[in-house]
Amino acid sequence: MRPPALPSAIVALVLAVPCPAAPSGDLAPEVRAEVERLQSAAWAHLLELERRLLRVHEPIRVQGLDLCGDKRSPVLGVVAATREEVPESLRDVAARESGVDDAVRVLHVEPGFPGDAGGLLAGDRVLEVNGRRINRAARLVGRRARTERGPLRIVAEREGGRLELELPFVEGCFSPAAVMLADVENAWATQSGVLLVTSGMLSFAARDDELAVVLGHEVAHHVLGHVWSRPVYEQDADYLGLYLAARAGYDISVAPGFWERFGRTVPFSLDQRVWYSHPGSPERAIALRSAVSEIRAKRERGVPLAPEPPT
Amino acid sequence: MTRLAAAAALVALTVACQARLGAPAVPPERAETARTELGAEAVAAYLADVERVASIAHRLRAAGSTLCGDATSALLGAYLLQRIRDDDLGTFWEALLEKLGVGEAPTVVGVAPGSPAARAGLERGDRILALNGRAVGRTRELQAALRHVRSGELVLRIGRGSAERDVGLPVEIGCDAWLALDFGVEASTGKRRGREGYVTTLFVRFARGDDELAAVIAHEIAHLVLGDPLGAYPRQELAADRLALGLCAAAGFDSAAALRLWERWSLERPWLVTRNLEWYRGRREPPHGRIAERLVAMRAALLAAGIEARADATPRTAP
Repeated sequence: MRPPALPSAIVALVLAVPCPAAPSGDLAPEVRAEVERLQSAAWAHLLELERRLLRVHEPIRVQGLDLCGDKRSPVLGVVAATREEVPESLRDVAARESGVDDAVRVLHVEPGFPGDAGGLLAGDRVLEVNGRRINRAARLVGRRARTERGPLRIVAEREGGRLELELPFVEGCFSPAAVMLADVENAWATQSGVLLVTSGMLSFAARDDELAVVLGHEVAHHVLGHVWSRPVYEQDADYLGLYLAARAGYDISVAPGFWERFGRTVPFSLDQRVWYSHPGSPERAIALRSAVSEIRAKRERGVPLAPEPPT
Repeated sequence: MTRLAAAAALVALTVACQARLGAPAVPPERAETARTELGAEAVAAYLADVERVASIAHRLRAAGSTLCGDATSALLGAYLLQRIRDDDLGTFWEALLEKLGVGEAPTVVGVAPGSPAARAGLERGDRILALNGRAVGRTRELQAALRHVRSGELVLRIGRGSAERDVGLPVEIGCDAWLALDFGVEASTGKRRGREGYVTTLFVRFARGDDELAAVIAHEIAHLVLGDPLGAYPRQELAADRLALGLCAAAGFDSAAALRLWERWSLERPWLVTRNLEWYRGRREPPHGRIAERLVAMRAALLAAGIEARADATPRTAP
């Protein structure tokens, strides 16, 4: 939108008049309204990021299960949170708009996954899982590898009523993923068992196929039991991660180009000595290109998609 | 199925001994070739961004000759780089410095169209050796010397290749604020020292179109001109916003783009919307905090100036 035709010098002078002092103490009503509007938009945006992450991530976990050894946990296809699990600046708006309080509130249920199959709905408050009271969404979505097998019996509250649900048991690779609001394009397989992806990475990996390459890589870190990052580990995680993404049906041919674009955009990643824990992006792109051909050849021959042993 | 079981066992075994998978080996010479190619592409992308930032910054600085009060200086309209240390800079900076032949003298990396530098025919790779007969070894010395040029002559001694010559530039006065284009882990803008600030490439990618990028650059120019300390106080943010709107309007950019930019910026930085700043608990408020107050104030200022400000920031959506 262009400004209307006003002599620019006049506009400039009017705009440059000193402004009144900023309100101190309580916010002025129009500022309060603006705060609520912006927080509401930010909360909606965060939920959208979480939904996208879940939609791309859960199929990778389910389809990759037999490559994941004992690094497995139930897959629910659910976004949920307690007040404490929401970023502090969004807690009020989360309470106001989504009823997020001290109980575990379901915020989204992805169609086709156990949460949906078992009848869980967005807005439900989950009180118990398998006879145990829970006070963290992490307990519901299984951020720690679970030894119990079998369906999840859930006690939930909906519109004041109490109901019992049984969610079918679907296992997937460890672990669930969550959004971290930060600009830097990064993702981590954390020791506490949650896979974090930054909002910056979600923007950079604009295509779901690209995001799947990133997620496969992080799941592979968990599977391979990597505690510290080392270039050799990263190479293995790229390799296994590509198989994981391919199994979930993503177009893995985007992987080499993705890391090349990363190299052009974040040029420090060109050098291993600067990007200390990872191979340089050129090395990653070259190795991934070979791996893409390897996987494509297996698919054409009808051979199961499994990584090759060490040579 | 047996193949799958074998694969699973293999993975389990690999985990146990931390042995490597059969990931494809990367021949080092192929990696080096790819690194060189990607490095050159990264340099080209960075130079395109530099050109954009330099052009917008020049337009804003030139338009602010009266708005910026005493904080003015003669303008070059050239983006300069110089090699200060001989460290190991990594593929990207080495490729950039080598491509442009950047040495110890301030070297032209980008030229704003229509600027004094452009009109005098300065080009990428030109080295600036002296101003009005006085040698300048550092970009900072050049900046200081430009502050004292008010009228009359502005003659630069330029090194191009092995030749040296004097070039006369038209004297054009504008805001005294220098912006560098940096890499960083945040979409941020800030102050270095004196009247030098920076904007990160992440912010350049975040801003949609030149009007939004002008809003960011004008905001930083305003801080530098107003002499705000590192990490300005909220009240200084409001004053900087106000001057930035004036600079954008005077330079012919859409001032209302600032509303769209800062509103969208707050979407993934909700701690900046108000005063509840979990990241900064117990500390002074961060720069650029309290976006809500800033937007209300900017909307009022635009309204007073007769510019209709639509609050129509479209959230960034997943594809």
